[in-house]
Amino acid sequence: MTDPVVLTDVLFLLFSVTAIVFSLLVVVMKNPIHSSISLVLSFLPIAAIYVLFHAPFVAVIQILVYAGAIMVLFTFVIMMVDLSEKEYTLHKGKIYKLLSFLIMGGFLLMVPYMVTRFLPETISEPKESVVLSHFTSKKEAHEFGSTKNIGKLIFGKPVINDPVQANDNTLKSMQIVSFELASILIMVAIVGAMILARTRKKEER
Amino acid sequence: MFTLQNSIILGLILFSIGAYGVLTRRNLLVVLMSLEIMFNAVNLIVLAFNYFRFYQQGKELGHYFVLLVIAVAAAEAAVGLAILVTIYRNRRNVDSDELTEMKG
Repeated sequence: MTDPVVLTDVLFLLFSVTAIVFSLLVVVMKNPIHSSISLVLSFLPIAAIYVLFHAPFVAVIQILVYAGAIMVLFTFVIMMVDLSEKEYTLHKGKIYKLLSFLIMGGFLLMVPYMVTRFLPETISEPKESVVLSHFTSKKEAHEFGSTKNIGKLIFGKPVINDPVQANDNTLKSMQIVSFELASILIMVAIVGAMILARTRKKEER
Repeated sequence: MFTLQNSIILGLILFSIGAYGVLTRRNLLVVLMSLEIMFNAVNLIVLAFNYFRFYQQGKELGHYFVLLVIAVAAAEAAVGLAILVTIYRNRRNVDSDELTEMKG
């Protein structure tokens, strides 16, 4: 069975190759500024692959949070930390290098297992015509992964004055607990980062 | 080409690149960047499973899970970089080979 090459295949190949190349550059580059720039460039094709997975909202969040916020954080820390005086290379010691190659090879050894476990014959890509029959309407299929649907997933459906539907709503909006826990986690991280990184005036004297 | 299998292989390759960077680099900044690559690889695999297995049922819980992972990764980057700044302030470098105070 040879499926015709469609646009998604070409795009997936292109984006995955660029993602792998720039991720390798992050690890290989000696200058951390070059690493951080190639990290941004590796996030963008990954976000594009998220779009191919029909997850547009996650792709936007990926670009906003990773390529926007986290990379600004990294770049500012690189500016604060002066690394020019010393070249950082790999770890010393041959045993250490061998061990890390072994661990990396162990992860790569999972590839043949995955190839046999998830054969393309057993799980096929959802074809558009098949998908549309599962959704009630074409509009619903297009809204997969949209902000509206994820909002519904977290907060539940809008409550209408109907006791049966209200009861159903409480069951469906259990994700709101983890949502609020994530906000608490981020607040704790902000406070912790501020406490860790502030200058202690008593000790500096 | 665009199958679950190939998406998992892409995620595994990215994860092993990130693991290699975490294990071999001495600069703590690059170690943190490699951690972000590993987070991304895991997110990619989760989204791949969500698309190829649950697209037909219209379930999007994987997307929400990935959003939570992104939130945790942001918090981790903030705290990790704050620790790195503290290390730099105390030692004037960020070399992980020279952090040997905990050695007995």
